Amino acid sequence: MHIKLVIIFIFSCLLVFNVESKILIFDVSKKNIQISEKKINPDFIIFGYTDADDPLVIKIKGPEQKVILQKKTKVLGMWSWSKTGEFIYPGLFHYYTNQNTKDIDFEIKKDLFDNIKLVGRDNDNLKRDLIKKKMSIDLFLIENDSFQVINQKLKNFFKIPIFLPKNSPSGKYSISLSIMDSMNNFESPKQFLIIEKLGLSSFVYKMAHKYSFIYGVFSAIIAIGLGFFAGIIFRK
Amino acid sequence: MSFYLPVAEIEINLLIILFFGFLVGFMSGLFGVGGGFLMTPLLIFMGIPAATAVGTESVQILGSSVSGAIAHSRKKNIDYEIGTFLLVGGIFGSTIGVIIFNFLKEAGNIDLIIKFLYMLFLAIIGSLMLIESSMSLIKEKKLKKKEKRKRTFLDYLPLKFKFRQSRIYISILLPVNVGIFVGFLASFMGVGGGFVMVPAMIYLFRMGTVTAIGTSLFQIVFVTLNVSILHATFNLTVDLILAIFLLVGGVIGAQYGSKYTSKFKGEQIRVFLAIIVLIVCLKMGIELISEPSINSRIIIQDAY
Repeated sequence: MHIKLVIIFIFSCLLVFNVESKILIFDVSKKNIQISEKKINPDFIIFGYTDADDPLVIKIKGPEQKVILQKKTKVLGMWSWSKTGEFIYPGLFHYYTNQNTKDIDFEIKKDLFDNIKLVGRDNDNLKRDLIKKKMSIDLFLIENDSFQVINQKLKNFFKIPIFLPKNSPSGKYSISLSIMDSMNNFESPKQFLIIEKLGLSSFVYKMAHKYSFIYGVFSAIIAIGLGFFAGIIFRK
Repeated sequence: MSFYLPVAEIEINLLIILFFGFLVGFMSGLFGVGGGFLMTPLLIFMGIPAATAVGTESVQILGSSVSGAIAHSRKKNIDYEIGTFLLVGGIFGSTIGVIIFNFLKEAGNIDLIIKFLYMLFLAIIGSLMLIESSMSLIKEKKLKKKEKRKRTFLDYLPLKFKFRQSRIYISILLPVNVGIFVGFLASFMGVGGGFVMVPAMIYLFRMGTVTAIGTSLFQIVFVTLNVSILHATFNLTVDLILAIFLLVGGVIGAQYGSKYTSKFKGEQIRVFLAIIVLIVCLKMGIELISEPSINSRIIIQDAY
């Protein structure tokens, strides 16, 4: 049902959008996404159409976060974490491309570097460290050749199933589709998503970070209650 | 039964947490100690960030000491006058401790400080305990005549007060300062501090053992309450889910552990405990000096 609606939407848009003879349009299967602890199916699917043969890049950008990067350093012969940098950075950055070329790779890495705002002095090594770390926890991803053909007869239509990591931050996400042509960089209008996390972990995280005092008092009450209850149960 | 701990930001098997809670609870019951100084290092070894281990452990200690404190209160084993002075010091020491903890956490050095403090304290406690209990095991117990205690500088401290229940006449500076020290330890190491307070009350204040234990539990409840709320509010280092599982495992373990206490001699129990403490100390030391497997991490401070 979703797929049919999206295809109808794309066709109707095709009649309107036409940029320098290159048509570029996409939509998503869901706008409100709830990430749960366990999942088998993709969180959402991007559907699109293009008649361009150029390299295409879909970019998913998460809400901005203030991040501290720490590295292990040796202090008096002992290993300790020390702060190496502070950043303001989108919590998630996923890139999906239809090709796998050096040009695309260069453009994506440039885009990543440009999006990191360092608090204090600019330092490319710190940015590189952050990108590496984000990549290791799936919050930063480059997936080449990820555009899938919907139908062999309609080769200009594509779909990309998206699996978001469990640690994706909640909030407003933007998705954009660009033609990475060095002569003519074109970006289609953005689509926006709201990501919500479900489950006990997410609730506790939200409480601990947004209402920390209430969370502290609540934790203490729970602990006292459990201790009191245990005392009654095990009293001989 | 893997579960993503939201504050510790680590996926962990909750059955393992329950098991470790049970294990430390068992040892607490067996050895008659709080167990905070064993549980916090164990959490660190499991990959929980040291700061979160400390914050979470204070909640667990709060829960596990409540029933003991109530039981001692019913038996009138708490000296509320001394307890109040210990508490005043404890609240002050723990609050200052949390402020310094926050400063060091921001600077990124808190892990090192916690591990170093643990290594130091465990080495001191373990060695003293091992020497004392080994000597007791080797030597035959000789009955000594009760000697009249010599006066020390502690007897000349000002602001003396008569504590009626314990029948002692000491300066209030003693319980206040012990409270400050223990409060500081509670905020930095995720311990209750009974292992410092009880000997201090027995040997320095000359209180009875049972009253010392009851009064110590009374102080621990309120100081860990303060530490738990402050750590949760300012350092965001309390993982309630982790604390609940530790508490459940710990409470059950303590019941079983206490059943085995009578099967061992006091000296034997202290030797076992000293060996465990020294093993934990050694492991902590190795962690501090060996090359880390993970050499970078990110900490999300605020979501805009």
